[in-house]
Amino acid sequence: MTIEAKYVELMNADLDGEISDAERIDLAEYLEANPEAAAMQAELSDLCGSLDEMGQIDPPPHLKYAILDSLQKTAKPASERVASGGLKLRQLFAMPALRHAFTFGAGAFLTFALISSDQISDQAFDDVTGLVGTISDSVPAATGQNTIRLTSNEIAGMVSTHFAGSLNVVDFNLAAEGPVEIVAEFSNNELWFKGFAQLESDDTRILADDGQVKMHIQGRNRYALYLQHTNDVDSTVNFKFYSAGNLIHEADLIIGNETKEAE
Amino acid sequence: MNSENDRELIENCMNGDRQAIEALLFRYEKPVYNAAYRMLNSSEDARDVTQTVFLKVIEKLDSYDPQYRFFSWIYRIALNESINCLKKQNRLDALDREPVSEAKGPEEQTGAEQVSQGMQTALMTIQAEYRTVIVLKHFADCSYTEISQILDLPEKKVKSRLYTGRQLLKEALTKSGLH
Repeated sequence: MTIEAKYVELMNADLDGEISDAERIDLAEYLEANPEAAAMQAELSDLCGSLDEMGQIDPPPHLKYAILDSLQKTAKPASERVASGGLKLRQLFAMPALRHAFTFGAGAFLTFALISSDQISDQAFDDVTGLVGTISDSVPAATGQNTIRLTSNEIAGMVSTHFAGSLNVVDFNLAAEGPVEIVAEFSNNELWFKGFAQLESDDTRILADDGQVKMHIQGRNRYALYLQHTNDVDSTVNFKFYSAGNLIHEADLIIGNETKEAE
Repeated sequence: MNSENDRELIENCMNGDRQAIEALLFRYEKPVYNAAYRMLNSSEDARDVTQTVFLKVIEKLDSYDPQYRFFSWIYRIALNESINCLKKQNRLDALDREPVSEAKGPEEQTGAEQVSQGMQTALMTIQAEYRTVIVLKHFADCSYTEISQILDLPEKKVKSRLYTGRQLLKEALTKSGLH
C-alpha cells in the first residue's frame, strides 16, 4: 500500500509541531487504519528524537576571545565608527561581570599556589591590592611592543603592560582551551617580581623564581603580574607559551620606565 | 532569541559600543558554532567559520535590515560561510564520499556518543541543501517560516527538503547499520 503524500507531509508536520488540531485528528485516523503509515511515523519519530538528542556543543572556551581580538584588529578607525579606539580596560571594567571580578580581585588577590624566590625582596608582598584598580587606568602603550596578541588554537587573547605608580603591571587577558604554561623570563637585574592579582580566572597557578615567573592557566583567565623596574633603561621580558610541552608562541614585551612611557 | 533585545544590541553595536559587540558575540557564538559544526563535522572548520561570521556581521552591520530578525540574518551568514567552506574543500557534494570525521574511535565512545557520531556522519553523507534544513530544524530549533526566511525559500520548498532530507538520512543510517 502506498502512503498518500498528504499524510507524509502531515506526519512530518506533526513531528515538527506545525500541525493544526483538525489535521492531527485526520492523521490519527489515517494512521490507525494504515499500519504501514504508522510504522513510518514511528521511524520518523525515532529519527527526529535521535537528532534532537544530539544537543548543543560548547564552542572552544577561547573562541570568543579570539574573535574579539580579531574584531579589535580589524576595527575601523575611531573617527569612522567607534567613539573610543580599541577595547579599553576601563570599558571592560564597566561590565558587571568584570566589575564584580574586580571587587573579587581585591579580596582574592594573591591567590597563587606556590611562590618561592630569592629574588623577591622582603617587600615582595607589599599590599598592591589597590593597584588592581589601576589596571583600568591603563597608560597607552609607548610602542607596539607593549602588547602580545595570541590567536592560536590553544590560547587566545592579549598580554599587555602599563605603569601603575612605580610598578609595571603586566595584564593577562587570556583564554586557553587546555592547560597552557606561560614562562616569563627577565634575566637582567632591573626587574623584580612584586606580586600577582587574580581578577577573573578559572584556574591560575604561579611560581616565581630568580628572573622567571611561570604561570599555569586553563580556561578564561584575567590576572595581573606586578614587576618593579629598578632603573631608567628599558628591559625585556621574554614570554614563552607552552601547550602539552610544545612551544606554541614566543614574544618579547618591552618594559620601559615611567618617563619613557609617558612620552 | 528575543528580537527586541537584539534590536537594541544591534543599534549599540552600530554605534561602536564594544560592550554591545561582546554581548552580541556571547549571545550568538554558540548557535553559530553549532550550526557550522553540524554542517561541517569539524570543530576546527566550525571555529574558523564562526570567526568569519562575526567579522562579517560587524563589518556589514550597516546593511542589516531590521525588519528581519537578527538571528535569521546571522544564521544565513553562518550557513553560507559553512557552504563556502565545504566548496573550498570540495566537500559540498558529500554523497558517496568518505565523510571527514574527528570523532574518537568506537572503543572510546559511550553508546550515546556512538549514536550521536553515527548520526553526524550520516548527516554528512546527504547533500548540503538537505543538511541545511535539518540543521536549522533540529539544531537551531527554527520553524518552517523561520527556515524559509533564513534560506529565502518558499515554505513549501522548506517542507519538501526537510522530508527528503530525513528520508535520505534514514537511508544513510540504515546503510551504516545504525537505524
